[in-house]
Amino acid sequence: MLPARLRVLLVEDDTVSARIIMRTLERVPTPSFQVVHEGTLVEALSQLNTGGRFDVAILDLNLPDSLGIQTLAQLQVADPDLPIVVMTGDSDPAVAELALEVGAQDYLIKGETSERTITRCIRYAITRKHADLDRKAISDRLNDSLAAENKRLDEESALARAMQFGLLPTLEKMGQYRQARGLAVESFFEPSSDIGGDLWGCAEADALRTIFFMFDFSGHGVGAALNVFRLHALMSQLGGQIIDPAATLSRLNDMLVGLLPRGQYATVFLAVIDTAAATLTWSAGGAPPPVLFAADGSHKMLDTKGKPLGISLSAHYTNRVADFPGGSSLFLYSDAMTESVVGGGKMLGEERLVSMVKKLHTPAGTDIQGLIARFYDTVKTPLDDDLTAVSICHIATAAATQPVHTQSSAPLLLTSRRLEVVDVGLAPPYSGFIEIGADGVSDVGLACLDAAEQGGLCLSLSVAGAWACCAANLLATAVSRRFGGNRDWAAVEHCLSEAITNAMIHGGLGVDSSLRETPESLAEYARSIQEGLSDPARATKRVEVTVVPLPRGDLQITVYDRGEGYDFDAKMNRAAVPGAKHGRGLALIRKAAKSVTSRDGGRTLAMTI
Amino acid sequence: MNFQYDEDSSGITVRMTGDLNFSANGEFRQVLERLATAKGRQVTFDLAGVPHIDSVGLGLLYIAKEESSGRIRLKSPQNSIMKMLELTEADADFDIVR
Repeated sequence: MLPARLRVLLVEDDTVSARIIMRTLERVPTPSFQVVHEGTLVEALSQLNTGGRFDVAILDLNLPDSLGIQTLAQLQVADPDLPIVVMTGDSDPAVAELALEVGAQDYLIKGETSERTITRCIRYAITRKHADLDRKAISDRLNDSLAAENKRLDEESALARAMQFGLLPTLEKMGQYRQARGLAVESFFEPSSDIGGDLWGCAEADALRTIFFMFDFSGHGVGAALNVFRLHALMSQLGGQIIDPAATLSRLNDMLVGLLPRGQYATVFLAVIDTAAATLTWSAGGAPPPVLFAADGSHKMLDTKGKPLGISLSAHYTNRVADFPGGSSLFLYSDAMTESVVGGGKMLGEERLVSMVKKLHTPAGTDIQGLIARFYDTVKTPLDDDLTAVSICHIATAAATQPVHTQSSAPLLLTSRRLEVVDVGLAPPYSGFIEIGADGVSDVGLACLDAAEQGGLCLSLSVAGAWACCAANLLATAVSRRFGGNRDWAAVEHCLSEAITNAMIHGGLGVDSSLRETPESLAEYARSIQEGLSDPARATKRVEVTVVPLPRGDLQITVYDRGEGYDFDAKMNRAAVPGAKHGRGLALIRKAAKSVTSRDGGRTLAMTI
Repeated sequence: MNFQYDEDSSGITVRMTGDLNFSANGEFRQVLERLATAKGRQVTFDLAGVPHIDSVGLGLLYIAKEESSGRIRLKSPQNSIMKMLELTEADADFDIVR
């Protein structure tokens, strides 16, 4: 609805035309017009700039101080919200059209200014301008909220990106793999549009087997990233159960076919590296073929034929195996590496990538940082796909591989820092457990390896380790399971227990048992032991036990310590003290075992049972 | 190692669970403290829940015996423990109740 009274700014230098218009407007009953007339642009602008409020302007474009469209533009700048009707001569319709295009609401042709035409023109100009202003207000508001929404999306996608990076293996974990598993892992990951469909990861199947996987979901952005989280969650659920890559892929596929919308799928590579058996077992579904480098630097591409996950319930996956001895390494990459564009619009391609990787191959695996630098120098950026590159090298360090067999017929020893797996190492297929100590395994006694070679069992632990895991109990159970038969198991148990306790307390910690005399000194004794256990110099000394079956069915149990030694004969021949509270261990062994001998100044005790 | 005490007019019974061995030194002190309050009474160690005793553990039983200044009854020892008590001739120093 227009107000009943309208204020009009009439800008017209021709007084005759001006008077005609004013007279015409005066005759209109409703709305009534109040007209302010100015003859120049400067005067008109002055009206607007000094606070004059008008409902509409009627503007002659050709004034003494301004000509043509310029006149309109200047009035618009002075009051952007003012509806404007321009007046032109009938000789120049093009000017009128141009005026409408640049923002006038309507035009009047001089000489055609009847009451009805002017009124209609003014009404139309005001209505149209108001509609324009409303639209602009709405669109401004929309733009503001769009900007806010974009900001929110940016923030959320940064968060999602951080979360996705959070799924990647940590440097700390990689450090552990190098230390405890002899696997040097180096990696690079860069999603293309903030968040992507690529992921690689690793997990521990058991003490010796390590799982590596890489997958790439179709598409990228939020949808692909959600799928990444989905598959990562499923894989985490399986965790250590992943021993058989093909069976695992079948299970994941069954789950994903139901979960993924049609058309979404993931190419996948899943491998289990067994550092003891020196094998790489893998299964794949259409992933880019990884490069396997042998210790001599020669390479081959792994076969990764197979259906991507999530496509078909009838997908079938197969396991493939390759040797992976110390010095071998595996290079995994996402298809962004081969499909990125180089000069001439061509893709980099597998051949060129492999030749690049070969140049950056070192005995410690592929130099990933060097490779990525060279890759970015070669291809056009930004990439339009996620980029992943991982190198896994089986490093032949003493800590990781030395006690482990060197030939396939040699016995298998479990080496670890983790005492939770001592019993794993004591059970077949392993022939013993070696704790990786402060000095790695360089201080492990050769007798341990000899015993394993002879079909026996060995255990090499720090004093603290032996104390913490109750080595004697674990060994007693393991020995009865492994060697079986009709033996005096109580004797075996007592001999192991007494000899290991002596080796820990006297040999390792250097605590004297004469303290175990009265309740008061007993406290002192317990304190000395705790002190010893928290003294690295003593607590890390090794205590070792070997159990070897003898031809006549006896067992030879030998316990070694790294202590001061003692006069074995004197202790053995000492007369028993009735009611003694200590010094009974050797006597018990002497009675339980068929024979007992000591070597190395009392540091080695060999018992036949 | 876990200890439970049953006390009545006839004496005190210490029911033990877990291995009585090299690592039980500290824990066994509370048994000795408890027995100190029951001087002159019959003390019984119920060993039914003890899978293994080593020479250190046996030494602890000897300390308990000395502290309670009387004979100590060892009740329901498992076979391998019985064998150990025989080997060390501890069966002569304690009253074994099978």
